[in-house]
Amino acid sequence: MTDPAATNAPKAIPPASTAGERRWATLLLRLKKIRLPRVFLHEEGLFLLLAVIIGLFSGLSVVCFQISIDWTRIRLLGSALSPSPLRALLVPSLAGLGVAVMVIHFFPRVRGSGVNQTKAAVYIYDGYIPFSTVIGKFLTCALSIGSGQSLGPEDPSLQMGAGIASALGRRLHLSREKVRLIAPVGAAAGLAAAFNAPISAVLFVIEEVIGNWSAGVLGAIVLSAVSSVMVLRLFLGEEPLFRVPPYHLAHPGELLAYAFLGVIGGGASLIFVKLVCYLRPRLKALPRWSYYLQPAAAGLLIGIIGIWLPQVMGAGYDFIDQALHDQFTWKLLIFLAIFKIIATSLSFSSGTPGGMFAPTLFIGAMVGGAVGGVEHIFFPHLGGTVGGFALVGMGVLFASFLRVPMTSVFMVLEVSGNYSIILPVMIANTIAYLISLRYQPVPLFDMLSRQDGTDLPSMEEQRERETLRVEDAMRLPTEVVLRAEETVAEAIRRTGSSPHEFFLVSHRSGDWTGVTKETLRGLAKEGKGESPLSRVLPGALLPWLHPDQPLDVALRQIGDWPLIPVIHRADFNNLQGIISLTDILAAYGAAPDKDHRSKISLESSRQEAALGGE
Amino acid sequence: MLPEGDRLCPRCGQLIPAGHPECPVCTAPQGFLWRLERETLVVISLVLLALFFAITGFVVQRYHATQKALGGHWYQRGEAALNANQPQKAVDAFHTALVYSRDNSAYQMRLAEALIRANRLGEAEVYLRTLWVREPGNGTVNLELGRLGARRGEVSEAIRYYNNAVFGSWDSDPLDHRLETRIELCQFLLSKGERTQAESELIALIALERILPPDAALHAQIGSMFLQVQDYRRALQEFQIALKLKPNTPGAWAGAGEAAYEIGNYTEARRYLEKAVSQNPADLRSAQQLEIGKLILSLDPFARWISQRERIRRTVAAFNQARARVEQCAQSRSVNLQAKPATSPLQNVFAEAKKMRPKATMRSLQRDPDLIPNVMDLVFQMEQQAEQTCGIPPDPDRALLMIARTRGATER
Repeated sequence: MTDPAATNAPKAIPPASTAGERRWATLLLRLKKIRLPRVFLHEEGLFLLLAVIIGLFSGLSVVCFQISIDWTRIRLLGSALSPSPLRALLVPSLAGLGVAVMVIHFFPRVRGSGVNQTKAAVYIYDGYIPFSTVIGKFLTCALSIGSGQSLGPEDPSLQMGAGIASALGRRLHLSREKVRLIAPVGAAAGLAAAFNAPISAVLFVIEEVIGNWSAGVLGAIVLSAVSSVMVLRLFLGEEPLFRVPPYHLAHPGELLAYAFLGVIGGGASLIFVKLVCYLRPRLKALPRWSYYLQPAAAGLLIGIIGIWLPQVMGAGYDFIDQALHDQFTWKLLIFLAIFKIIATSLSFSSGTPGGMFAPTLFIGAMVGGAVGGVEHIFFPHLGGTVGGFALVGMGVLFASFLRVPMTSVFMVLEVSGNYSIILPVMIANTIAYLISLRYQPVPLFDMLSRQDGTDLPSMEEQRERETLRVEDAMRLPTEVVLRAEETVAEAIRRTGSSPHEFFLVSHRSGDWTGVTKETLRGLAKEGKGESPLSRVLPGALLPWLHPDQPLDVALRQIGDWPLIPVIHRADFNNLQGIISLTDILAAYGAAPDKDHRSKISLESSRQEAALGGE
Repeated sequence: MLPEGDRLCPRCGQLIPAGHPECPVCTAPQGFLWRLERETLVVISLVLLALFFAITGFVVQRYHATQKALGGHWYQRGEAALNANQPQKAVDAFHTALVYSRDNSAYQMRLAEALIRANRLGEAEVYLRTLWVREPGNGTVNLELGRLGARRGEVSEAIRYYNNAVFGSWDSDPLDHRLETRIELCQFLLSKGERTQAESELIALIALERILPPDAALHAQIGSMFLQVQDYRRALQEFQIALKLKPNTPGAWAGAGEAAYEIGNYTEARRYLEKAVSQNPADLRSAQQLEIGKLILSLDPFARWISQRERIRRTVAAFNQARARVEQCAQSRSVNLQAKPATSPLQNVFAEAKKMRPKATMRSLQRDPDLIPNVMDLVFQMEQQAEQTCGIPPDPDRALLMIARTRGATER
């Protein structure tokens, strides 16, 4: 992105036509004349300061957003936990109609996943997220979630944070690279405030959005997350998102029940993903006029469900809290999980703006609570609490549905503030994640982005990708290796029968150089036959590699050298192998073309074929 | 999902409406802000931030006020429902109140109480345990957990929480709460048959009671519990204090009478019981105890104030009565008392009585008064054996049994 300040800077302020405009122009002119000390010339410093400012802005926005959702809910659905049947039917459908008009006519970019839009900003649009998206997300999501659509506020908060960051970064004329990186910083701030959990937010952004731990970005992300959470706690209190009852592992046998929860949770997440991935493209393929009605229709269906199960309406945090406190029977918990999957799939697929995090946690808590309830009936001696199962269930769905295994573990720890839950969480989350990985190769976010016609980099693919290493390409050192102490004549004698032209020379210091037969002959002709190689060879040292290094390092190191040594990490004179450009290219050529990506293409083409067929 | 003909700008990602060749955002003249120095922009951002802080602060203040009001409103509805004995409705209302004031301990406490009343013990326990983790020394929470344990019959759990409540902190009237909790604990222990533990709790209760202003009803209540743990002397003391404080304390005369009767102080028992029966003629238990007490006083050959002749007369009368009781009992159970050899305990004791009969006369006993204890021992054996074989005896025989018990206790 070129600097607009440089290209479009007019020489003077345009003449103002009214008194108000004149006053405004004068104020701006005065501002322009202000000369502050140039303390932020160094961009790294400004980036970190900006991270804090972004965190504060995001925290404030999330506070206002949460209050707006709550106010909307109270005004539209009433202050009781369960709305009256009439409200349950009318409010989500009418609000859905209003949301559809707002989305189609005013904020077309607020549809879809905030995570993917932040990724798109990073990887496609040079960090650009229009500020109107922030306003649009705020208004439409407050209305949709507050009116009972089965969606959550975290994803919009994440996107609002990213949007605020993008706007500030651009206004402060950050470099293109920094503007690209600033969106994830804001995303972390938004998510941290929404969850009141900074560690989980930081991990999520690293695990799902940027996929690396570079120190510069990490520092900014941590700063923004911490500042946003600080603001949230300042205004809304220290309490965590959920009040988790005390937990302790009563019996080691309980871990088997948690493993079972992992299996059930993995299955539930598969159903959820498949339903979303089935419904969304089909609703998208309907005629354009139907876009006005889809959120309303989804709202009506959710309202009908809500008459009997009001818990499925809205984000459902209060009911997650009740499930954590063992307030529902296991049969009701199963019903709630099933209908929440249906309601959320309808809401999200209809294009209603809102996030999937809260519904995922809701479904997880219900599934976990149900498994805990069943365990109580069949294995009462194990003595596990239903609250513990509900909590672990939340992590299970988070790991398997959103495919963020690390974040899921830390989220449960951070939300519960109880380290003793770590074993059940790790067991259950891992099982659920592996089931999801096995039966749904494409993660949800990647699937959604491909449905929207973009191919954003998949962090999971990056994690799962098999990295080619130097040891995959290197050859055993069969050629003659010379020692720096040998004389030129000795070297000529040893290399005389070799078919190769280039030879490695090992120095006592652990350095390596190289020499050709021709150079050796030339040195002999110059009468340096009895001189040791260390004295007569040119000083340029060879770069070296270790067997475990990624192969792309070899590609960068090899330069014009015909071959370079691969040496032991603890003994630099110990030659493990040699590698040439031909070896590297051969290794890349022989590597199987990512199975994963082939599966993805296959799945996408199947879906397209199915849609086309219809 | 874009409107038909519209597209996204490849540079900035903004929407390019149909018919526009270029992106309206990228081609728009840049605003004045773009031309300001970076440092100035940072300062402007900070000013905006301060403004945003102020606005958010105002909004949050109003929000909290609304939340508090809504929480209070639903709490009141919960209280009303609880008072109207509609615990289910109260549970819903308190749940809603907690939505608006999540960590309000009072709301949580009332919700737990409503859940207990709705017989949803498991759910109540979760809330109480959460409160307990937050305030392990809270008397109210511990008391409710103790009650929960008591309802579930978990004796050790209930005792632990009741004790925590006794030594816990209370918002108001801590002494009264501790006293009530200890009384409740004693009642629970008595209901579970844990008499020894109940007795020690009652003794601790007396110490606590002494700090509090005198209360006749309380002394009578504690006296009743001492009666249940069969600590009759302490029971009598408590009832006496109660009667001293307030002579018409309900149940105190009867309690004092029973305590004196069980101790074997029949003269005093008669005095208390006569008063109890005159105050409450429907008190059949006291009337019966009075009757037996009177009989004991008239039948007891070991009474101190009677003459030697009277003592001998009573011994002979007791012997004849016991013998008649054995014969009556044998007849009702079709036991042949004349059978030889004697096989049943009743036959054995009757055989002994047969041997003793010549000695158990006025003349013989006057000659040898030292035989009186031997005769009376046989009387007691006959009565006990008859009771074991035939059950509850008539009042005169019960009186003899009571004399046997009192004498046994005295000898011990």
